[in-house]
Amino acid sequence: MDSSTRYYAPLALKTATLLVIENAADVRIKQLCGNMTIGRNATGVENDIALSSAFVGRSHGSFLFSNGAYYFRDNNSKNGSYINGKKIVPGEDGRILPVKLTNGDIIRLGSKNPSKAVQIVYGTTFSARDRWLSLDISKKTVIEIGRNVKSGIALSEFMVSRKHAVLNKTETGWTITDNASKNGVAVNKKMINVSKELKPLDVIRIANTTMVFLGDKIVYNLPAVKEPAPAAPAAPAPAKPAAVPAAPAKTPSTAQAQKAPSKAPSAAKPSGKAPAAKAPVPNAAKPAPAKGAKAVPVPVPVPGLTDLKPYVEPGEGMNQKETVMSVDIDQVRVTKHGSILKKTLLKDIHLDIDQGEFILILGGSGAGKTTFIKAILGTQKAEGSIILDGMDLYTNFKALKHRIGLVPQFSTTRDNDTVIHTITDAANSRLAGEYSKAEIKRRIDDVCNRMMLNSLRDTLIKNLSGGQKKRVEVAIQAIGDQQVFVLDEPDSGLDTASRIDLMKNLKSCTEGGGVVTVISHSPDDAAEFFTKILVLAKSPTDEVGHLAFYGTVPEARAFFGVDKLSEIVIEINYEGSGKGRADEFIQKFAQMRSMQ
Amino acid sequence: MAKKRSNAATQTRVYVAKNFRLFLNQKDWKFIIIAGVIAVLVSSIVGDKMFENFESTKSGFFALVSAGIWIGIFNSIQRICKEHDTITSEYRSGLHISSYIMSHVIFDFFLCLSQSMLLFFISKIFIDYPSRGLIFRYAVIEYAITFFLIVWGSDIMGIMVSSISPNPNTAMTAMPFVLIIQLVMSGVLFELSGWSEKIADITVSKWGMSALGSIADLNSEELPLRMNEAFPNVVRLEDDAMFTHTSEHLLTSWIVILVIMFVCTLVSIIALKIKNRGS
Repeated sequence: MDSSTRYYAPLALKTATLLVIENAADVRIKQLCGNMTIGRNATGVENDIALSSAFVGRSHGSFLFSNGAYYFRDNNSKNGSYINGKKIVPGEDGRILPVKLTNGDIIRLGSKNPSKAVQIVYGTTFSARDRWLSLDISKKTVIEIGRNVKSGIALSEFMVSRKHAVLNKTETGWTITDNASKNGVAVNKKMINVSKELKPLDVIRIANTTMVFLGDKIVYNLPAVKEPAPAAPAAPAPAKPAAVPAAPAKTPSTAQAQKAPSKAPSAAKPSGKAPAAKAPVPNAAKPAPAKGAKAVPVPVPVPGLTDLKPYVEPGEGMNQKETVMSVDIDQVRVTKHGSILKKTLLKDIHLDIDQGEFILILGGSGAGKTTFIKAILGTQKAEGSIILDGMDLYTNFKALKHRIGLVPQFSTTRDNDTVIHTITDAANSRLAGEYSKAEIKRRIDDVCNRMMLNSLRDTLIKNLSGGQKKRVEVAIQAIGDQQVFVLDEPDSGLDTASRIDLMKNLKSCTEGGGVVTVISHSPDDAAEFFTKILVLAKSPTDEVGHLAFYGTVPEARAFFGVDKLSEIVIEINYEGSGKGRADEFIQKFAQMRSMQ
Repeated sequence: MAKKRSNAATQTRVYVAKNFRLFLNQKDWKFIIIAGVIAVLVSSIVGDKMFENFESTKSGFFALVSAGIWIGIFNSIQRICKEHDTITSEYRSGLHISSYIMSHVIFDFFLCLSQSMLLFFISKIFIDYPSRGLIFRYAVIEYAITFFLIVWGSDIMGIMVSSISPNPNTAMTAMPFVLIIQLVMSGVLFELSGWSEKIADITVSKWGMSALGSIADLNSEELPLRMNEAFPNVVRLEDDAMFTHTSEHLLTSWIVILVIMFVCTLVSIIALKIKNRGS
């Protein structure tokens, strides 16, 4: 292959979701899919998102997609637009600039007053294809939220504690109290300590569920079940009844099966990708439990619970991949030993990591791979932000850190313990109290299955091969409720077969919606497993690591003009046998993004 | 909060069980055998001279205290620092450092109990301990408790050194210094005054000696000075306050060792938390 590159790989268009609240009775879920207009429809004016409020202009505003992010622009409307309570005003030159949107932003159109305005919640961590429910709370005083099927708001995800939180009606209004849950409760992107009084349009986040408090009702989504399906080829997995929420994707979860008494199930239209998991079956006939199996907990009908119909037009959409992590690193500076000056190691890394991604991080020595990993782990704070699940990792570090699992280069297991004891201890340390013994055992069996560790259960760690040890370390991380796995050269020192096996196992961690990022110097054996390649290159000009590429494997090959992924490093390195083209690719990638 | 505490208790249970398993898998029972061998060596040398006169009894106790301290520190001095990477990884995933340290303290309770009982009962073969106790009816119970506290206290001091040390090499380098401080500050080899006396107040060796001397009533006139063999009329002008033969004094000695253990545990937790800050 010649040294010239062949084409610019365009960045894929992403979707986002809007919760449009025109008045208390009208809550709509709309998928954003590229540039879209919003306003009051009239003769000759047709908006992509049509509103009826008299306070909203005919061409009130536009949602714009640029450089991988969504922006909102007010089209000089009469009554104006507000983002998070702040009015969008023209700049000094009289032009109104688009405002970049981040997950959980509240947009008010037509008035600052919530009772008059059309209110919109912008989100990238929830999808229009989820099942959306509206719960009338006007006649209630206490609502439990948790994995318990008897909860007023029953959520089935593994990350949700049995009795996660409680909503209480007080004299002054509603408050939400975190019931010392494992993964906490966030209100308006901030983890709450114990209790918080709620105001209309407060956005509550519990695990992967987003709830919008509207005063007399709560609108919330039930995300598709994100438990990975058990790996088929591995050692025989004991057949389990779907008695617990950590059920495989094909089983309708208890919460998904929660009865909506007043309306017929409408729900999300099944996506092409995983219809079984996505499509809710509220009144589906329960499968007869196998002999000796525990019966599926019967969902408790909740008065006042209705389904909301998401506005996803047939053919309009794309499957929205929810963003798990948004990386916005302006720079990472560190103080080197023996120096009082700070040295910049990494600069301008801006990218979104979506659920289910398996990302390979490539780069020559000194390109900042380890620094990047530390920045997204939160152990080396960058100037900028890392948004995990809609919340800032650095300001919510204590609450969020355990959602990112790290498998470092060195061993973190105890040589003289057995595989099963190592994994069981990790499970009991993290999950006991929140989950029943049966749930924990099921989780352990599932992880051992997926990591192909069944035949090694009673083997001492010291007697395992390098690849097997890595699989145990991945299993330890996978046993909890991590959303992101970061692995620093997990395949170093492994033979080809072990490398492929390991990558296959890692890929299985993404099946439940998790994200795996891997630094590897031998990526070609397992190239087909990666969904994205992130290339960091050290610029010879400023001696700082920059983002040189972020895209799919075929796009990366085309972008760098190489057949093998390992050749990318040769192209960008300027030391040794490298071709020294780092600056060229850094500029080309930046240019490509700005052209979008 | 209650949930957090229950999770910490669960983790402590999990890690205590892990420590027992590793003890077997790593063949750490050899520490118990070593304790037995040391007990035989020390007791056989000091045994027949104990309770003959003040000096030989004091030296005998000092040798037994030194053996106990060595056994205790050696149990744990490398245990924490050799798994720092593992702790960091587990801490990130939700490990409570206090649970981790407490699991070692609890596990070491049983290890030190077996070692100190071995040390005591082997020494009892060679040493004819006086039978009347200060708090309990039988002195052997008080001796056994004291030996146990010396070994367990030193063990927890080893945990502290191990928690502070970045790696096993550093911990092993620190070990002789810790031992020397313990031995010098016991008040047996040298007369302590000023700052050294203050440092001695926080050593297990001083309070261990104090407890043993108290039970044995080293100040008793029935226990002659060595020079009495040549000068029978020489008498002690004043009693050594360190060996006051009262139940209060014995209890104080035990309590101070427990306080030292508590402080060492606290320092261990803080040291590990500081080490893992930001991870």
